[in-house]
Amino acid sequence: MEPMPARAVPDADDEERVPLFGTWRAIYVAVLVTEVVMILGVALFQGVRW
Amino acid sequence: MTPLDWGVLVVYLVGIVAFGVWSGRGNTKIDDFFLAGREMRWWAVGLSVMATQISAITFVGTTGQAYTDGMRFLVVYFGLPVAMVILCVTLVPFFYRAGVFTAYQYLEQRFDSRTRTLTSLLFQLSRGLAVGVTLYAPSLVLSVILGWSEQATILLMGGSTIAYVMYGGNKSVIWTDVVQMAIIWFGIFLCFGVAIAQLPEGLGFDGALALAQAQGRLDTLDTSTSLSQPYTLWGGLIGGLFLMLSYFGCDQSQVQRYLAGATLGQSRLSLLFNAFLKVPMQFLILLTGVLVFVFYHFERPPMIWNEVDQARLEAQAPPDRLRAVQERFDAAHAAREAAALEYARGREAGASPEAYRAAEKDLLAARGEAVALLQEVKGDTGRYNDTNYIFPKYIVSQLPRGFAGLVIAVIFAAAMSTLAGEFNSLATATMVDFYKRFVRPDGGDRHELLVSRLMTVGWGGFACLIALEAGRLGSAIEVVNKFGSYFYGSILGVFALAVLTKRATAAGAFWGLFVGMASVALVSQLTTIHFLWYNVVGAVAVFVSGLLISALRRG
Repeated sequence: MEPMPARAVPDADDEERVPLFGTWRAIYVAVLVTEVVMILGVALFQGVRW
Repeated sequence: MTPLDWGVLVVYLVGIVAFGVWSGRGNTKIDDFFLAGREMRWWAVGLSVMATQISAITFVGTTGQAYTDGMRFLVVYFGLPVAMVILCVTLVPFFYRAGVFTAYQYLEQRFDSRTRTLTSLLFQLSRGLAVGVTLYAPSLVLSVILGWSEQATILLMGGSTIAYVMYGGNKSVIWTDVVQMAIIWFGIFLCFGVAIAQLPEGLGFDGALALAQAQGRLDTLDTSTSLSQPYTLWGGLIGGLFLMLSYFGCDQSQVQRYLAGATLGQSRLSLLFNAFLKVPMQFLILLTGVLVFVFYHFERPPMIWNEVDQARLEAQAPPDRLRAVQERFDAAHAAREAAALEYARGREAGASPEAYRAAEKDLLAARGEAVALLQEVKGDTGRYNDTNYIFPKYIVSQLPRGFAGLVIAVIFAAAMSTLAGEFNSLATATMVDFYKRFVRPDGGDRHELLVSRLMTVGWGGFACLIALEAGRLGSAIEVVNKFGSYFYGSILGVFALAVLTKRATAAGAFWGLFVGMASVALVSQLTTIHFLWYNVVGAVAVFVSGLLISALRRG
């Protein structure tokens, strides 16, 4: 078999428009921002005096 | 359980098998059977990925853990969103564009056939044994709760799952997962709502949280840098990241779900869907466990959660000792209830939680005496753990009529969705990585479909056998559970060598895998490092040694 390239080459799938977010980069950033917000939310939940 | 509860459970079981068979019709070749014709939408695949990941023991085990230990387990999922982004950028495009059936097939294209064979074999060995435990653990709990024999529960759960996966393959797996995940979500919200509604008048949600907080049940973020400490923030972020990369990137039971996506974009979206939802979902499950903990402040909990053990204690313990233990437990519970109410009412005026904490400690000590008496009766000296029975016991004894049957159906759904994905992926690995290479490379569509179905039945039957024998295997089950963690991270290291560098050679990947597994074995035997870090050790050891071996062999 042909050896695979060591890096993924962008193709038409990478250009596909992502629902709601527009681009793949935007959705990745949104995931990471959500992650930070979730951890801060958990910290707040734990830290606030109920 | 009332007749209505039983009715709900029967409707679920009959309905899910019928729906599984119906949704999986039309398979004519193994592309259909294993990859659902590569035509699934992201939301269906995303729900299937989620359903495969959440097993019954995740559902009943983590609520029980939240009851006894609080919400610290949540950090394990902190690595998941980042892992999903990394996988979408790295491994998923490679798998998708290579047009593979299994993750290990890609390793042959990148390295050589022996690396593929070894990694696929390791997957089948560990997953094949672990799937028996996946079946046994909830069957054991459900058999106690429903009053059935373990064998009946195992055969019902395993048999009904085999029936639809054998017929419909991955299409059945994904579509039943969608339904099962909807039932699971509904069940989670239902339990959460009922737990809040059952709190005593005047306490309120914030009062319940105040009580849980006073007992440390809301503590989630532990910033300790100790590698031996379980569930620290860093362990979750780094160890959890490697665990999730290994599970979602290199475990065929997950890879096969998203390979069924209609396009690369659909596969990526299915993972990102999980990146957004998994942490909130787990938060809700754990918080439900915490609310159940508060609920049992105002309702006397059983001394022993496992009904079979409780009955044994009542039947075999000396009556005077049992009465003394029960009276002590009841008194300690009443004292805790009073202390909790006093703290809840006075907390805004600055009341101290110390008396309440002391009452909780006293109740734990009273339960400890009951457990000691039970162990004496059983002649058992090991560590007693009935955490997995807490939530099911709460369901059947406290939920309104009809709801208990539904939540028991949720436990069945959580178990069956995981089993279905695992039976299907094990059959795929055996068929594609072994049978089609070493036995009959070109048997034609009809033959391959037939053999694939037989392999599904074979793996399902094997899981049932392991589950039926699990009670006798005892501590061997723990060994099986640990077995996978020895090379999970190491396999991730091989995939990292495949996609992150051009310098890695086949020899580097193959021998690096052994170095990784040996490193994890040494770390687990010689240190007290928590298991969450094993995948980091394995992946890094394989990556570094693989690069070194590649350089030496080339030089």
